Amino acid sequence: MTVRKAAYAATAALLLLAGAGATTRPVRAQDARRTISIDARSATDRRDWDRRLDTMLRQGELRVRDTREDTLITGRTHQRADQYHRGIRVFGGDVARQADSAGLTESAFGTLYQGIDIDPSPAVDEDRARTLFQERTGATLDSSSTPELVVLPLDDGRYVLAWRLRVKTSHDARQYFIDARTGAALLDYTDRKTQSAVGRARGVLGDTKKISVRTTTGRFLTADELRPPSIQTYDMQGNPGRVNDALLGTVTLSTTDLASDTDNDWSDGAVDDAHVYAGYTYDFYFKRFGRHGLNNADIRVQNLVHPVRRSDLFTYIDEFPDFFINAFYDTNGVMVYGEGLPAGFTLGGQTWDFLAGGLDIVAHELSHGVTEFTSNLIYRNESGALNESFSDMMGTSAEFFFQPAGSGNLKADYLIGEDVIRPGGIRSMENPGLFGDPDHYSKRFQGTDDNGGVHINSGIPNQVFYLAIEGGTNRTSGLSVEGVGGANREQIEKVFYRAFTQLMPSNATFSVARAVSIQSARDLYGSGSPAERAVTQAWTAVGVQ
Amino acid sequence: MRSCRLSAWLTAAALILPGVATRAQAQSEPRFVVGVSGGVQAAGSSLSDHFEFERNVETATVDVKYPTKPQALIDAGIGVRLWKHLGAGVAVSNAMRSGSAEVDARIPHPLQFGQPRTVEGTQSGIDTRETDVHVQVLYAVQTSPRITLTLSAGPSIVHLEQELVNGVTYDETYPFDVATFRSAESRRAKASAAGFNAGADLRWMFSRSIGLGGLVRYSRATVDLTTSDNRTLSVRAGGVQAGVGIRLVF
Repeated sequence: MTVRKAAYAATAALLLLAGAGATTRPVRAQDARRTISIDARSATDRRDWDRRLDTMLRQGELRVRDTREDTLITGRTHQRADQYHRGIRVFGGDVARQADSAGLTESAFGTLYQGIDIDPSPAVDEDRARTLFQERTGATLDSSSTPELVVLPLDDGRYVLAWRLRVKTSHDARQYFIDARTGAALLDYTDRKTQSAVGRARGVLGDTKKISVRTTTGRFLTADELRPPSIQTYDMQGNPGRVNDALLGTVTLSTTDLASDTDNDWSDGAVDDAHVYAGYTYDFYFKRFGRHGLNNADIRVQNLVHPVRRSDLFTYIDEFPDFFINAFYDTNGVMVYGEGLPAGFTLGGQTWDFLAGGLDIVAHELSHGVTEFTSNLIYRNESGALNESFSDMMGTSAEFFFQPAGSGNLKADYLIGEDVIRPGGIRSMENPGLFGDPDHYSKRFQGTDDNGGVHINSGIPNQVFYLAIEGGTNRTSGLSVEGVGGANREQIEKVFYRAFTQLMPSNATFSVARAVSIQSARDLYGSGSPAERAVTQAWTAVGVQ
Repeated sequence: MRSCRLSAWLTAAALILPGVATRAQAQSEPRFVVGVSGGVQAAGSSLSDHFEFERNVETATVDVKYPTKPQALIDAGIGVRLWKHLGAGVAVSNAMRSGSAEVDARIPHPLQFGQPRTVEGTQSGIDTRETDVHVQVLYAVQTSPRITLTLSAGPSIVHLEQELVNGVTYDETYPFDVATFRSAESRRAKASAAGFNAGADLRWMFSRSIGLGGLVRYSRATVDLTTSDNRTLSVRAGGVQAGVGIRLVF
């Protein structure tokens, strides 16, 4: 099948090239006797072809398919006509004629087949053709699937009367041709202009994973065609100005900005992980909560990776620090993943790898998008800390959804960013104090830095989430919590997801968060349930009433 | 198709052959016997297949069990007495069956490694057609004035046409954790092989030249079919054939 398709495509390509040459030019030896390539641009050619095409139109050898106004040049019209042989369309035979406001031909391009001498009466009738298509494709054809009788020019120079049908399946859409005399299969090829493909990707940490991409001619692009939303990953190739312009909306990113690969065996860890983990995050929200993306309506997700080059650290670190040592959710599904630091450079005693390499980081940032479209928690003071905490909760939950529990790379734990900011990550939900963050309300940061401590005070609700699942004792209050246990983590994840996306107001305080999360636990699992008890005990343990 | 034509030819030949004496072992005994029977061919050995293909950067596997129910049989033969009890003959049998194949596939998940989906189903319209040409040495024994038992054995040429499953189509939607069987793709494979046959035919003549007969024959040949992905699938064709029909003697 592939060979047939390739051969057919080659023919078409050659014809197209011929169209840019002389008025009538043989295309290749086997086609020379049967095709006319039209390229009428000179006045003489236009007059000549005008007469011939008009004659063919009158005689029914050409039939106008459509006529459209030129949207760029006023007064121009474009007419497309298909070639017919004794009332049967000749597949691939057509002409595009451009006319000026007076109706005179400006140009004509096309391919016409000559020397067709076949009887247009099929021995295989339409019903039988439908049955044959069904048998051949395995597809169930509904009444709208009507085969078309065509004259099919074959690669070997012959013409065949054929039934044509485009058959769509969940995997593909193909054009099938069967001989209208014998019922034999003649040709089939994919007709899906862009197609999904599954490739092999290596992450930042060298792990192998599947990547869902788009295939075009000879290339694969980081556009996920399998999941419901459009997830696209753009390789910004170390151009921070363009990233900035894209974020400001002064530049629109296009297909040419998508990361690409020629063999679908991907090796750019930052690109791979950003793309794959954005998909994982969608999967997590869908499978766990039934949510359809950030806005629950499959909004597009755009990942921007390589906003700078590590080698440009000293050039851009002052102007674009976030492009090195941060990952952030901009708005409307746009994410930027920092490049990390060059080898040998540390910050706070830690090395910084590509930020996209952490599943919890990617899920954390995308969860800001979920918050944006739900509670829209104001990003300062306690509501801002809740905003950050919800992202940590969901980032960690995504880790546990896809990775085995444990410590070390690619293991699920309660550390944030530990896979790429080494050693240890940047926050701990189990022990916020490890990173100087409060684990109790009495220790909350009350200054104005960090928007009123949004990344600091998130340690308090983070500790609630941890204790409600795993149980244990709060280090500051000494109060113990009976958690639901890791095997039941789904309950607490759902409690907080529901609380933060459906019950939480935008200016919530920790106290409000306590109330709505307990309410959520009661709604989901009932009063006195282990989940309600665990959540209540956990808020009490961190000093929030 | 060829066997059908041959059967028709044999039948026609039987009808135009001149009459000969009718009793075995005597000058007046019949020299030619023509028989046409219908019956069944019992299932031979079970046929199954396993093949793999790449899907979603992993290996998909498909196991197929082909139908083994008995096949409808048409048999036609002609024998000629050469010397005393001994004779020679040729018979053509055609066995056909249309059944369902059981398909059990493991299709890799498009988004995750190591999470294949099970796709199971049955595909109807899996046809098998076997045409055998049996060349036979005959040994006839008349057990009563009207009843003759003929034993036969010899080489066989077995031609097998078998619909072979070569792919699976299935339906899947996001999140792709489940895939459901839609159909199996198949192609007809054909091949021939030499084998053997042995059997017996018992005929009862209710008139001078027309009678009824019943045959039992066992034939066997191993036919190597080539699959669409160029593997060789060895099939034990033949089996026990049993039929009843008309016998004409001349």
